[in-house]
Amino acid sequence: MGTSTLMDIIGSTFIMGILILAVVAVNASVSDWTFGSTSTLNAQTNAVEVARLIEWDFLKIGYAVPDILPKISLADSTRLTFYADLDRKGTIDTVRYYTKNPVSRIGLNPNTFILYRLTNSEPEAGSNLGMTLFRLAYYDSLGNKLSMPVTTPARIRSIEAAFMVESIIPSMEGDTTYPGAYWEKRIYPRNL
Amino acid sequence: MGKMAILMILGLSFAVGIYTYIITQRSVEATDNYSAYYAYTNARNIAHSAVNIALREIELHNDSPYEGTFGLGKFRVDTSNVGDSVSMESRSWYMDTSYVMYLLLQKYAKPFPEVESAVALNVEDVVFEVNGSGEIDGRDHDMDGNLLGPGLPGVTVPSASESTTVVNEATPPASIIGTPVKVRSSDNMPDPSQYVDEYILNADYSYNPGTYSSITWGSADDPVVVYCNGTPSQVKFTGNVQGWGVLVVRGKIWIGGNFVFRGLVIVYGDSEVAKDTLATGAGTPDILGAVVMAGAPGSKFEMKGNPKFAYSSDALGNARDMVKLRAYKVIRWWE
Repeated sequence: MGTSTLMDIIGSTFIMGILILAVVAVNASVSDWTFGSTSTLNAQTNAVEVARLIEWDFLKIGYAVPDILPKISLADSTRLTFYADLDRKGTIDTVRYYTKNPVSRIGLNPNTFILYRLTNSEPEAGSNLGMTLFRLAYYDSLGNKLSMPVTTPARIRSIEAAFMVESIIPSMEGDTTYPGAYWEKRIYPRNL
Repeated sequence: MGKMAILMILGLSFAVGIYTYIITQRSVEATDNYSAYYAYTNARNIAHSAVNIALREIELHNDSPYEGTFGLGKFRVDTSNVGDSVSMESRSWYMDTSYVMYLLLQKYAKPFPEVESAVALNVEDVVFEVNGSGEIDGRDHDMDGNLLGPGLPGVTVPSASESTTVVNEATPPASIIGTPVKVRSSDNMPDPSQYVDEYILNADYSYNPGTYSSITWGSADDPVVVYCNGTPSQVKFTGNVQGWGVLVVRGKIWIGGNFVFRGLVIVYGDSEVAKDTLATGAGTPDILGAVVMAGAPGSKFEMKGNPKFAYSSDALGNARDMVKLRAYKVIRWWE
């Protein structure tokens, strides 16, 4: 083993050390990025699911409900109770939307609450999707915004729904920012 | 040493590959998530549009199921008539997403006057002149002019004063026939100004002041809306004119020669611009259906020659049911 070979071994060991350190650093960055992007993706996925659920339900408000019966019985800024034959089976379903704080938010986004969507006598159950804002507004046939709570739900012709979904875990460990997605839409149920 | 370098390069390449996959995978999932909602929204919009497109096509061509494309999507609408209602199933496809909606719509006609006589003259101090053997017949006729049976009064006017004017003027050889009376005064006469704009917006033919002849407006199976703007001077039809549907006249119109219109004739005007004149000249103009005239005090209804204005529930019904004036009310809408 000559001097040249010894220098090769020392040099290559040094370079390998630098590479290993670089890989470790990149790995840490990628982990953080993955964590954050997963939080964002979860918030976005939840937002899309909630949006589709709201559209699915609200567009059916009053479907197959006889004119002599109310189609909406409760309407305020965070609560809505309406009637519709949701699945076209010939029976009128009662659908309730309301919000409630979760039992525990330890270690999670402190701003979240649970949006409940219950049909008929379904027991109260829901998961924390990271809802941090849920707001409803109601408009009459002339587009006038109705004051809350709506005392004459029969005047409602359109509903403006808005919500914000945030990740229930921060974007980075130890951070207090939560990636989120906002959705808002005026829905015109055709059966009102 | 060479083998060592190769191994290190391979290891690094593997690590970079994994990182790249991790980084791009989140973006791919986010895009998939968004594009799925985008496709769902587009499919829904296509199904909505399909309903609007199909309603018109099905009415015109009775073409069910109606299929088509819309942008990058496609749709199919199945329709069946249930009495005066239409049951529809609209399906759409966009990318890998489909959407369906079930509708029950009730058909009805857009505002159409309640006709109470062959000729309704909603004009205070109307000038009613007859020179010849004109006839106003309130009995019911079919669209060919054949008598069907008793119908309505010949003429309706707003008060007894105008009634006296009409009765005194319509002396033989002119005549007014009606059931149960020839001329009746009514305080609930139709006011075309409330809905005439909708007709004008849907007009198939429009005319400005001038002289016209040899025209055919629509057919019995395809009645149309005709608009004549007879201000500041009259629109004049001198012969060989026939039409089906609704004839809307603003201001002055003169009809003569062979003129046959089956449906509703509305004559109205802006009292600030001109008094209205409905004048018939020589020849045998026939209006089968009803005439509703509303205008400024002193507007003129004049019959020369031997024109005939006859009430026809058939012709009015045919005009009322024209596709252009048909509207739909949502009974049920599931989507």
